[in-house]
Amino acid sequence: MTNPTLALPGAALLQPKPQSPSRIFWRRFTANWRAIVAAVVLGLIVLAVIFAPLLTPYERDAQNLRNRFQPPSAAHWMGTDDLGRDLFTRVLYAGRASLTVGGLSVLVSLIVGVTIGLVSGYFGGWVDSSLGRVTEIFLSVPRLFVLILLTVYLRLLDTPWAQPGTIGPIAVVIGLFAWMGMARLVRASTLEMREREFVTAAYGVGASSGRILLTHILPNVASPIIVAVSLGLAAAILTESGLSYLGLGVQLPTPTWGNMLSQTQTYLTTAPWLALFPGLMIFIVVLCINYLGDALRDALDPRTIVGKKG
Amino acid sequence: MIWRRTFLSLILLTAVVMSACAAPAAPAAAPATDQTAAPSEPVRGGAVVVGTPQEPGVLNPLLASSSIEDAISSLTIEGLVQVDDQGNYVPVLAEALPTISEDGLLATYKLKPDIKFSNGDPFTCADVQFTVEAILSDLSGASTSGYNRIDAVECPDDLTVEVYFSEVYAPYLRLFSYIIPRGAGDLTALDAWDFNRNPIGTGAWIVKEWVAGDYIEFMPNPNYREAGKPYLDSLIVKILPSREVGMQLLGSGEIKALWDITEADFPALESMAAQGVSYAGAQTGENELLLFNFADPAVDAPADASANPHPILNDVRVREAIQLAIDKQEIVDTLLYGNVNVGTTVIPNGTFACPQPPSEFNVEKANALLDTAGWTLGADGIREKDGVKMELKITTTSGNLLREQTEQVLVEMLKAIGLNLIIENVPSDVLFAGWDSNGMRKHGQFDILLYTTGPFLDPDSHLYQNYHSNNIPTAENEGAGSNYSRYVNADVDAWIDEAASITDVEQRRALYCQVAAQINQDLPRVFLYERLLLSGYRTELQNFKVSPGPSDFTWGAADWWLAQ
Amino acid sequence: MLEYLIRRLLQGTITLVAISIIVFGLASAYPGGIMNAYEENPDVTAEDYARLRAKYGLDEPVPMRYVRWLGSVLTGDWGNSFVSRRPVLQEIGDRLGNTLLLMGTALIVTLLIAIPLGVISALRQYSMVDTALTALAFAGNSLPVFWFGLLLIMVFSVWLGWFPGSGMTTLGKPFSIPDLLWHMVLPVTMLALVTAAGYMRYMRSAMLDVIGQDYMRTARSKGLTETQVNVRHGLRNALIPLVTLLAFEIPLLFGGALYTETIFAWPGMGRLFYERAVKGDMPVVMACVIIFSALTILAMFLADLAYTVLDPRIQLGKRKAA
Repeated sequence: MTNPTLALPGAALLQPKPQSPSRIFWRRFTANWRAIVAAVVLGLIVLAVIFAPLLTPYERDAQNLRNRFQPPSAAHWMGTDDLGRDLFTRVLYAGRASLTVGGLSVLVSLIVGVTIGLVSGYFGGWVDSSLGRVTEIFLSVPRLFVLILLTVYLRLLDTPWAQPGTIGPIAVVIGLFAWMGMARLVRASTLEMREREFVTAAYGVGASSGRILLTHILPNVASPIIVAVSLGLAAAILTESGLSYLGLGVQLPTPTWGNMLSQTQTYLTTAPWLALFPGLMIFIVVLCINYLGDALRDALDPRTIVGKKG
Repeated sequence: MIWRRTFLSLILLTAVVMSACAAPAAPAAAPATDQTAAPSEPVRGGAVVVGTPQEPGVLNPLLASSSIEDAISSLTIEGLVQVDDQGNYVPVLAEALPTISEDGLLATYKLKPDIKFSNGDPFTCADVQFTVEAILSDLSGASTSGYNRIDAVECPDDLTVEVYFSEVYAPYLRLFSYIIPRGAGDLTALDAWDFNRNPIGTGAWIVKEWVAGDYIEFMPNPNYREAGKPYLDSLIVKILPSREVGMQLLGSGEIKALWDITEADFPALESMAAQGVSYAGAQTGENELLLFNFADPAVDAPADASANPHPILNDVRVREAIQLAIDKQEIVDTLLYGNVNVGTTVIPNGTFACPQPPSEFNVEKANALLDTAGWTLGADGIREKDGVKMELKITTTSGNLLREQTEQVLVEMLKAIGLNLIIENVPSDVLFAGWDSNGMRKHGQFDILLYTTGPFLDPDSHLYQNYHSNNIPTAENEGAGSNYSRYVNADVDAWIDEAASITDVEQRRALYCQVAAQINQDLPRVFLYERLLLSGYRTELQNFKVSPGPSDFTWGAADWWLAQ
Repeated sequence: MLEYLIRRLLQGTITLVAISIIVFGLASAYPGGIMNAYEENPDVTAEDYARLRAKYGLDEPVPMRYVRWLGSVLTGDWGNSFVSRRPVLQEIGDRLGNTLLLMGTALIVTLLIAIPLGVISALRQYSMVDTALTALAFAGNSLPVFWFGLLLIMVFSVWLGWFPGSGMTTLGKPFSIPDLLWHMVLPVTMLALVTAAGYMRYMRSAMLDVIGQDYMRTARSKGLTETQVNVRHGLRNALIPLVTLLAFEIPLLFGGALYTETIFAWPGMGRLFYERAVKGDMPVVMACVIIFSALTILAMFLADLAYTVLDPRIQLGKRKAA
């Protein structure tokens, strides 16, 4: 099980290696065939979403009320929806909003969560305990109130970028309520890291806190972050659908995978394909992201055993 | 849903057996036919579980604030006069409908003799007196409308009730829809009454056990006035997670009836017709409607819309063009499966029904109208006038499937006249919020709203609240009233006022019909289709009916029995 | 240690007060609230409206209302629900046990699934077992929760009729433990499958981190068996990040309770909170939030404690040694 060539913790970062880190990363990453498959599938989906107009003869919102609830057929690969629109077309276009919302909100939670986690784990003391209180408050305040109030006040603000139903506020809102887990994880890893030899050593030779945090601790807490990111992305895509119930989600007729899914519960028994395809898209995309995140984590991690692939 | 409290109307609808295309179940039958077709001899015994996605908080009508509370409490509590499944006022604890004096100031009720409450106390005129006292007491949460005009309730004898009014209350028949017994408790401790969750009444059912969040079990009232009823041994009201789950349980037979389904459930109902699922409905007199804002939404609650006109919607030609461009029949035929009527009038049914000719669907005419109004088509297909683009926001309650479908259909229909309709939905709490909570309706912060409202049995208060110029919410009146269009028409005001001062039905109807016709000319609102109050049930459950009144699906629960 | 405990207790109290102020403010600013129920009824007169506002104490300014609320809570009186008029503690008492039962069971089942599978997955990294488990975890993780719940009900309750789809007990039957367990199968399955996936990944990740550590090799060189090494040294250290996560997830479990209880009509706190928040039942909402927050704070504190126990190198509340 043990591998004698295994690098010592932290050593990978401190000692020069025969191969450049980026090449190691690439070699490890490409050796994982699942990650390759996931990357290809995800890439295809992203391309399809971007070039949706080229792939479908239908318009996104073109209705045909006399042609509602058609099961999948040659003319409509995924059938038609509750207003007779081509479901395949809507699913493609829906990816635009869903992927953007997912990506942006994870970025927000990543920035907030990692910063708070690193700072509070590294500095400890009153910094840690006050950030801990902030985290507790964010965890405790019911989202429902905040979200509904946001719909009220965003309406009153009436600025173009913050209209409810546009992507900006949704992403920020989702992100702002999703960083706490990330922060706690990063804090935990940082607490552990700061006691490690290479950190105390760096501290001893007079490296600044910022430098230690960025060059020594951050890369070593990367693996929990990556796992959290892949989970966060999935959650964000799903949360968006919940928000559309509160009027904070992307507004109709613009489709998202989330709002397509939540709208079709009523037809679960009579027209199951309405829920099936958007659900499947979320499932596939999130699955790919999970696999990619996993491969990334393995490839980035200096301690991973190399060359023992299944 | 809140607005369901405002049911109206007198017409009924009924237990319509699903006209299943494939299923041989039963042809669409009139209610009467349906009942006579059933086996004639009721079977005694058995337990029935009915489902509701909402849990009542209290079963005391003095404190009730939701439709489900009204419906469930009606199992135990009855009134002198109630609304039956046909939408008619019928005597329940009274022998007959009250007689009203010439001047409209004295109503006299004769009570049925020998009626006992579930705790054994006799029901007399003194209980009616107590009911008025209770409704008007400080801790009461009940609407005092009408009761606040009662000068005195006299009891010449135990079974005669004389109600003296200080001024004419035209919809007097709606009063005394529930009776609170003297023995209920001390009015200064109303909130702490046992009665609140275990009421004492004359109805067929009384609470046996209430497991919060799970179910309420009812058992027969031993003192019920009709011997041998209720037929069932036990009635359980089960709290369900959602309507979707309720529909599934209805299909599997775990529940025998499901409260409050919507028109969006028609396809699911149809698919379960073969499994013995049907629905009962009542016409409520409510319309699904578009409400236009006459005033500039950027101005906070202006009293006078003509001084702060809406840049697009203040022009009646624009409103008319919008109505002309909407194919209401298409919406009804497709989204509602042809099961409801197209909206034509503010008072579609009931004693005061005022049928109006249906609006025309004519896109050319709509376009011509907009051309003459000075709106010219831009390069992007959207009309413009004086640098203003014809873009309007439409807002409804988010998460409501049927409304969201309707909106999207409207978006497409209005594209044809160069109007860009933008959907911006909000949670129902935000849409229906009051003045103090920055309610968007109250403060006039919208272009077009889509929701349901209508008169409740008697159009008096609805027309007054929604179309009278006294009821434009402003800072001065602290946001009172529901005239959200900020619609002003002196004639309409006068007709509504006059109708409120008389009790003669024919005269009142004539006045209301003038109002209805005028509304269709001025178009503060466009009526899309008539709403139904629906509940699903299984066909083995006999005598299941829905009333448009407060008792809703529990109307006639004493007569329920299970066919084998 | 005692000093630390007292300090945390003090901090916790201050945080609780801060949360109560924030939530009270937010809930008061919430559009409509309890008065929304009367908004759409044309028969509710302006006088009725004013009388009801006064009855609920809504005619006072928000800070006054807060002080009044805090004052009565400090004397042990949590007030009466606006909706049911029952004492708040009675309302919550009816539900808290149900939630704890469901969530506790779900958590135990989750851990029983996640920890062993996560460890196996890590020890057999890249084997068939790992691949399969990973695929399973990822799949569980990628499922839309509410959709999955409805699916479970549809398949196992409606179609197959194996398990009840809602409630805690069979109506009309006397209470029995097997009946209760029967009703718990679907909600627990939903919660466990969805959350176990995440835990399993964290466990695998943490275990992989640990496997490569010096002390593992040291332990092996001391002649301990592979199992001893893995359990005594590996598992113990790998549990550290999981403990943090767990403590942190306990409050989230209550959030999850909302979904689960709503989908399965489980009469618990999550459903109570949601229903009453929507109806503007301030006394119940505030009590739920305070209980929930207190649990969150307690959980975070326990996590920190567990941390010191599991990893003696970490000293809490101390600035990094200079």
